[in-house]
This record gives sequence, structure tokens and C-alpha cells, in this order.
Amino acid sequence: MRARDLVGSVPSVRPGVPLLEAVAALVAAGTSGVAVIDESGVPRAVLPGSALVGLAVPSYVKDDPSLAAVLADADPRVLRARIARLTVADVLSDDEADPLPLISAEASLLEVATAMAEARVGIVLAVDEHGHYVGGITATDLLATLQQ
Amino acid sequence: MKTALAIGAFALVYVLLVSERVERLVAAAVGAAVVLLFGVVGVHDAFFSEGTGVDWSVLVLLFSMMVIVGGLRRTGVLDVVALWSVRRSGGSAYGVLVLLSTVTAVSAIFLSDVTVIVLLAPVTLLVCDRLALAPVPFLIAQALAANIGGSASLVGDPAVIIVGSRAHLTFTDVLVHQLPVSFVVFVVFLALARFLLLPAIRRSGTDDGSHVAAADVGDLEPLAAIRDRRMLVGGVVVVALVIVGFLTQGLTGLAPSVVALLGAGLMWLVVREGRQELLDHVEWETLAFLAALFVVVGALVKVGAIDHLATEVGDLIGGNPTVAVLGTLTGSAVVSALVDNIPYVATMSPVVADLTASNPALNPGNALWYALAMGAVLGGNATAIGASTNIVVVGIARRHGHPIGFWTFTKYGVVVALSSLVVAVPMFWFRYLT
Repeated sequence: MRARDLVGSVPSVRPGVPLLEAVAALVAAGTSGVAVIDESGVPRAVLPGSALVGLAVPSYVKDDPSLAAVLADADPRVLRARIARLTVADVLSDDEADPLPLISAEASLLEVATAMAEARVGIVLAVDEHGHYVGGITATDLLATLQQ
Repeated sequence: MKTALAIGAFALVYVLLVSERVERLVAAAVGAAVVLLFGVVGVHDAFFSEGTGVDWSVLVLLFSMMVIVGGLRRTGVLDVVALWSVRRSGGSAYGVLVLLSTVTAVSAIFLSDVTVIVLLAPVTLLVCDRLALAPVPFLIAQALAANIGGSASLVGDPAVIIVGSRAHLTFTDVLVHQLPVSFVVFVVFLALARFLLLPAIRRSGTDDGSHVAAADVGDLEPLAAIRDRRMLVGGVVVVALVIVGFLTQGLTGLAPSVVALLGAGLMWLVVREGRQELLDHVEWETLAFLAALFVVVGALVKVGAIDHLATEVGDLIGGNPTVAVLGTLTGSAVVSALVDNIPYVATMSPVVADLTASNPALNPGNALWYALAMGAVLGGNATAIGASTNIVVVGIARRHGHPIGFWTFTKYGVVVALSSLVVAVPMFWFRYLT
């Protein structure tokens, strides 16, 4: 079994789309992150769901988490408004330091498992010999295969 | 040759600091490396001499206070106090500004100005968010208030810590002599803020669209900021014991650095989980910067340059305590407005020590020391780079998407610093020189 046999469950978006589109894709797929693929089909990043949630948290609460409890009536509309004006590209620069979890589409199951164990978000992206995106694999995809 | 090297290294450090081309630690470390490498000072001079070396009591006091504040941060107590105060204001912009500034200034007396800003700036941002007010005027007010509060006590600002250590002042000495001046300066600042900052709040207080439901502050729940009641009790008791320790130095003979170190140890015991976080909040860069600076200034002392400077200054003053005290107060304010007050005070402390030793009449009631400390801290308010607090608040504001330009800060800071001098000069004259 090769990496390309496992791909399919990870949603992907272009950098220019509104962030809410990425949120919708993520919610619909039920994965832990969304792949960001540029116009030429090359993966740019994996945007974790936790990072998207983090964007809705006011910066001052990130500095002082005690304040989260103070805002007992936090309105989902207010949290949504914080990310409504952003595009996927707006939030990519913060993640540039993280190496992309890329593997060859022809990688073996053990190679996929090794890359997955090191991936921060539990998602690895399979690419072809030209570096073009073939599809994403989640830890759940991999575990389901191992369970069979 | 050694004299030239010591002066050259010192000048190099100052040029690098003023140019802001390198981090301040790098600037001071280069100077320290030069004087150590070429044998201007030796190991004994640099590390074991009170006159020419690292002032360990300053470093231990600063380190310990950082650990204590790191523990206090866990309690959420300052959040509670600040938010509770803001709720009393009923949401009026000036009321919020006065109460946040007051909580900041009072906290800075016991916890140091820079750390208080780091702890309270998130609360300010939250309140401004809730009231749909631009936070910049509030953050500037908070920085100015922190410096004024910090000028009142021995642990309020690193500049005062350095002066206190060199002059062997107790916590109570500094409080009794500096708090009255700081208090009047603060009252004047609050009055000025109504005319200076309130119009800026009104101009910038517009909803930028992110406030879908700009609520008031009445429905905030301050007590919810407390996540761990055991930690709250333990943390507050440790801070209370440290303050009692500071205030009773005359009885116990325990130096502030020792009291703070014991307090830091207690805080370490109180915090059971995640103790590493206490050390994460220690500003190691500031401590290393100070250590290197002490070595550079110590080299000037060793080669006799400070002695020479003190003689020259003494001749200039001509034995007149009024000129000495008021000149130090205003001169320190001016210099500290332009450069970081820590290197200035580190350099001037041995000069003042020489002056007072050779001519005690110039220092009635230790006035020269208090003038140096107060001038340096209050003058630091004048510009965005005058005090560490200002630099920190500008950095916090930028990180949260509310950049504060140099001149935006300075146009308010200069007025507040000048008003501080207008208050402090007659108070010093009346108390020490009549």
C-alpha cells in the first residue's frame, strides 16, 4: 500500500479565499486541519483547526488566559467577526517556520507513519514527483488502515 | 592606556545604545568584553568588588521580583482588582482611565513598573474592546502612571533599585522621601490626562466594525479571573510577607534583595505545577545587560575616571547643595528622556557616591540620591524610549495591532515629564534645601 492509496479525506483551499471558507471546509470534512494549495497546485501549508479557533480568541486573552473566564457572555457572532475579514493568506505567514509535512505519493505505509508521527497537526500531504499536491492523509485514515 | 580603553569602551556602549543598531545587551556586552579582554578590570574587580564590579544585590533583587510577579500572575489577582475598579467607573472613558492608571501606579510601587504593564495591558485591551474605544491613549496613560508609581519605591523601577543599592537606602527611606513627590506628580498627571488624553480618546473612539455587540463593562465577571484559589491565597500571602519584609528592614536588618530572594523561594514552593513558567518570566536579557553595564562602569571607577568626573562636577557646583540637588534632579530628567535611564543611573551612581563622600554638605538628607532616582524615572516618561516601561508598552500595542508612534507617545510624555519637574523641584527645594 502506498501513500496515494490513503489520500482523500483532507479538504484543501486556495490561499486567496476567505478564512470562513476554510472553516466551512474543515467543519464539513471533520478533519483536524485543511491543506492550503497554491494556484500551481503546490502545497503551501497545513492550517490546523486549532489555529483557526485561536484566531477567534482576542489577542489580550492569549496574553492573559485568565481573562477568558471574565468574558462569560462571549457571543459566537463576535468571535466569528474576528476572522470574517481575513483570508487564508493572511494567516499563513505565522506558520512559515513550521516545515511542511510532505511525503511522496509513492511512500510506503511505514514512511507515511513515520512522517505522521512527526507531523504537528496529524496530517501529512502527499505530492507527486513534480511537487504537486496529490492529497492529504489524516492520522485517522492511517489508523483505520492499520486496524484492518 | 587603561584609562583610554575604559573611556573608549564606555563611549562605545553609549553610542551603540543611542544608535539602537544592536540590542542593548549586545552593546553592554561589547563594552564589558573590551575592558575584561584588555585587563582594564580583572576577575576580582568585575565579580567580587562592591565599587568596581557587578552589583549582585541589584541583580538578585530584580531576579527575585520577577519570580514573585511570575507567581502573582498565576493568581489573577491584578486582573480582578483592575476589572473591579473599571466596573466602578460605570464605563465612562475618563473614569476608566483614572482607575486603570491608579491601579497601575499603586501596583508599580510594590511590583515594579515594567512587570505591572505586562500584567495589566491585557486588561486595558479587554476593557477598550468592550467599550469600543481605541486603546492607545489608555496604554500611554498606563505607561506614564507605571513610571510615576515606580518612582515612589525602592523596587518600583530598576533605576531606583540601582540608586538604593549604591546609597544603602532602605525600602522605607525611599518610600518616605519619594512617595510624597510621586503622589503629587500622579494627581497632577490625572488632572492633565483629562485635557491631554481624553480628547484623543473621544477622537479615536469609533467602532471599527469588529464590535458586533459592543457591550459595557458592567457584565464582566472579575472574580472569574481567579482560576486557582489555593494559588491566590498563597501568592497574595507571599507578596504581603515580602512587603512586610521590605518595610521592617530597620528592625530585621534584612536587605531588600534578601527579602525578595526569600519571597521568590516561598513563591516557588507555593507554585506546585509548572514552576518552570516562573523562570520563563524572568527577563534574563535585562539582568545580563545590567551585569555587563556594571562591569563597564566599574572600569571607569577603577581607572579613576569617575573620581575625576566627580571632582570636575564638584568644582562646577562649588559646594552649593541647591545647585547640586536641583541640577541632579533636572539634569537626570533631561538625560533620561533621551537615553535609557538604567545606563545613566548606573554611570551616575558612583559619581554621586564620590561627590557625597568628598562633600557631605551637597547631600542633605540623601537628597542627591533621591534627586538622581526621581529625575531618572520621571524624566523617562518624556519619550517613547526614555523608560523600559514605555518601550514595553509600545511593543505590546504593536503586537496587538494598535501601533504607537514615537511622537504620539512623546507629545503626551513630554508634558507629563515637564509637569513632574514643576512639581518635584519645589518639593525638593522645600524639603531639603530650606
